[in-house]
Amino acid sequence: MSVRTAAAIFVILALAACQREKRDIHVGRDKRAVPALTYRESDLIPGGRPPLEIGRGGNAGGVSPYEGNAYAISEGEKLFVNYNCSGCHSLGGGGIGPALMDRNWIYGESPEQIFQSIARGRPNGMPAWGTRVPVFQIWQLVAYVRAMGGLEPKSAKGARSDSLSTSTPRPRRPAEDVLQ
Amino acid sequence: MTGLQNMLAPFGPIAGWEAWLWWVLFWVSVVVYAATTAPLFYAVLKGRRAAAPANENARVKTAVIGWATGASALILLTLVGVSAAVGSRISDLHAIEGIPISLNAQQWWWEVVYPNPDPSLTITTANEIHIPARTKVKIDLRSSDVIHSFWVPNLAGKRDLIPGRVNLTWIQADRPGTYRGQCAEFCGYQHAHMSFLVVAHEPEEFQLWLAQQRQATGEPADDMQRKGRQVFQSRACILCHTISGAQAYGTVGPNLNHFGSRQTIGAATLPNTPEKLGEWIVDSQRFKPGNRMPPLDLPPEEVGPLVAYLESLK
Repeated sequence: MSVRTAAAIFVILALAACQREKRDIHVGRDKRAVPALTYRESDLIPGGRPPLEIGRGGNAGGVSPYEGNAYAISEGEKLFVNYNCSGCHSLGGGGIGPALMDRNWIYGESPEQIFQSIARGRPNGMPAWGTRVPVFQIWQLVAYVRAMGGLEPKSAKGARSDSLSTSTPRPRRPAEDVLQ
Repeated sequence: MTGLQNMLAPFGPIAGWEAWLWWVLFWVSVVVYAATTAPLFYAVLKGRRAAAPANENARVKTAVIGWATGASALILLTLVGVSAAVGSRISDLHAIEGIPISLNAQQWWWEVVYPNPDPSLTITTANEIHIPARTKVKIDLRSSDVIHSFWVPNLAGKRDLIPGRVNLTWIQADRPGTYRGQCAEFCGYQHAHMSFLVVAHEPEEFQLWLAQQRQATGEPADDMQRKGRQVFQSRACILCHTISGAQAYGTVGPNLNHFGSRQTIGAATLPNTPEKLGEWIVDSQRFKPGNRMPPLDLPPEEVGPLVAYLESLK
């Protein structure tokens, strides 16, 4: 095979290897609604008032569309603070609520289980966010919570956080170094 | 000159000085350009001729170069002086009375706070800055995330809003009117849609506006608006927005007090009409993709009342 043919094959293979991460900005109709929950596990509802009706969002209990998606994890990080998750969970270390950075997952660590925890709420204080928050944002929060617990690929979790850095960046921190 | 966002159509002293400086620089440049291009044209048009010996007219040539260099240096130094004088005049913050308006830029909107020693009289609004005309107004500039820049071409030049730092600037509008401004430092996806309005009122009218803004919303006027308020409180809106008097205290998104009296939606992205508001609420990503407000799947029977309620907040 000539050098030119080899070079052509190499270029074609290299281009085929390009994989740009998909940013879900124009969210589909099914994901932008509030999840369709038939029951809640908590009486705490953000905002106080009960929802008008059961949501119409699909994918409540489906597969996480944002596994390993850096954009989703970054959005989840912003939402975590915006929705005041840090009020009970701090920035992962816990406080009123359990720590999210450790390996102790009370209700499970799979994306599906974390979705249910956030959407339906849990006993002893976790509000039912699925009454207010749209499905795609819950999945973004799921991705971020998993990233906090070290379950997302390092390449997807940015080393820089939005706030002042006081210690080793998160992806660089060994898993054994966090709370048990 | 007239014109929206036209820095050469000044409506305030700062913009006036800046426009004056612009014209000075422009005409000086025109003259210098003509003076340097004319000999070039002359030489080109005169055509080729035999080369003269190298040292002929050496003294004349040296003199010409000397005078031209001297003149250039003099012009440049003068322009530096003029520029510095204008610069110091327009950044002079002395003797401006009153508490500064606080501007907090976020991606991609402007939070406007009118502080007051009495916290209950503090006004928070978004994307519209109301000022009294013919009065110097100090503005505090802060940012929550990245560097933005405050620019109202008709009134004042650019001043950056830098996270972690408080910058100070002032503006003055010489007559009442609405002046459009823009973010002038690239700040992300929707930097292009991060504009705002400066509305100048007659001083008495401004006091009335302040008093009106201090009032919390009362009860909705009819059933449709009541349903709209219920939608607002029962959907995701309260997680991010504040409406005083409607038990909504979200601080993530723009404050919606007296939203019905604002001229635009989404940092001057859309005009504030009921139709556009409905489209914005259901899918703001269509107009401003990447902005922090999620698209909401609200059925039409909820959007109508919600829009009616929001537009009723005058």
